[in-house]
Amino acid sequence: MGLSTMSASDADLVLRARQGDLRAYAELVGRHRGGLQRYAHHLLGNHEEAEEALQDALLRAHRALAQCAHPDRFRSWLLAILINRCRTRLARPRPLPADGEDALDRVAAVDDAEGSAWREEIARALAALPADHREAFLLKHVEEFSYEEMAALTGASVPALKMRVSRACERLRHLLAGAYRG
Amino acid sequence: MADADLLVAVVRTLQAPADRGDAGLHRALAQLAREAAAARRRRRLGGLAAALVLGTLGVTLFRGGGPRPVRFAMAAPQAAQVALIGDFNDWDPRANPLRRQAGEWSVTLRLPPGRYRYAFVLDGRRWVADPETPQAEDEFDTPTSAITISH
Repeated sequence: MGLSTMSASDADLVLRARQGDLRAYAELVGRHRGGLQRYAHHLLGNHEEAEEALQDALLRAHRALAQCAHPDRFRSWLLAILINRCRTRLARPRPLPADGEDALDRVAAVDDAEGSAWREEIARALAALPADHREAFLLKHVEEFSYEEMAALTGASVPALKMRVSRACERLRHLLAGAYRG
Repeated sequence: MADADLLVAVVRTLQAPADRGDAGLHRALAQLAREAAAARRRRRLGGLAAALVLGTLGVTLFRGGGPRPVRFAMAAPQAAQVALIGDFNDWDPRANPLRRQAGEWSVTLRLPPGRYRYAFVLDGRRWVADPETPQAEDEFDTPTSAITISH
């Protein structure tokens, strides 16, 4: 990546990407990939599906760059697209687990390499939440959006989002109390 | 208090960066790069066609010989569908599906002499290179093969 792009703002990069500069787009999405991957991974509970949702979102976002009304808020705009792609995936019939293995076991297999039983417990607890509660919890506490930003991203009302986050916290506390060693 | 600590610990764990690779990012950028290359090629071909109309390039263009049949094959017994994507079909997975025959997936295209980059898409989502031909250079490390059809 050239030095010229290192200090460019998101808005500058969006404008260059709109003119066909693919390196500008690569720089732009590279800046935000960590949060995007994290969100998709925790929401879908499956590494491969998360990567596919991200790929899909990045392609759709590139094709719709002209419709990004606030290039300085590219991250939120891209996340809104990713949220929709993840919701579409969650709404599809999911493959039946084979031999007792489920999506969480696959997450656990990835995380085993990192040697973290705690991560496994969290992944299981997250997967046990209703999808809209999980979505709200991740946006609020992990991605640290305000409720107003979340409402714009998800289309849900602020009171509804507060309720989902509250229920998610309550459920996570309950599910993880036994695994937490303080 | 313990409940609050528990949630803080959960959030910190979820926020921790994890090295899961950049497969989705790379695949998206590779596809965009190919689409851009295909668009450039289409523009060039448009220019050549215009030149042909003017009668200035006809001999050069036809000197290379006509298209010839090229068979693309892939052993993928577990796949439910396999598609061929490459420079010749704008990397469109709907353009050239392979047919399964005797345990092997294949499709035959007629291609003019030249060098082509290509890959297979298994079940609409897994992108794999052809194990029997050389790997091609790729801007974003996506598995890609190359074939040269000589004159």
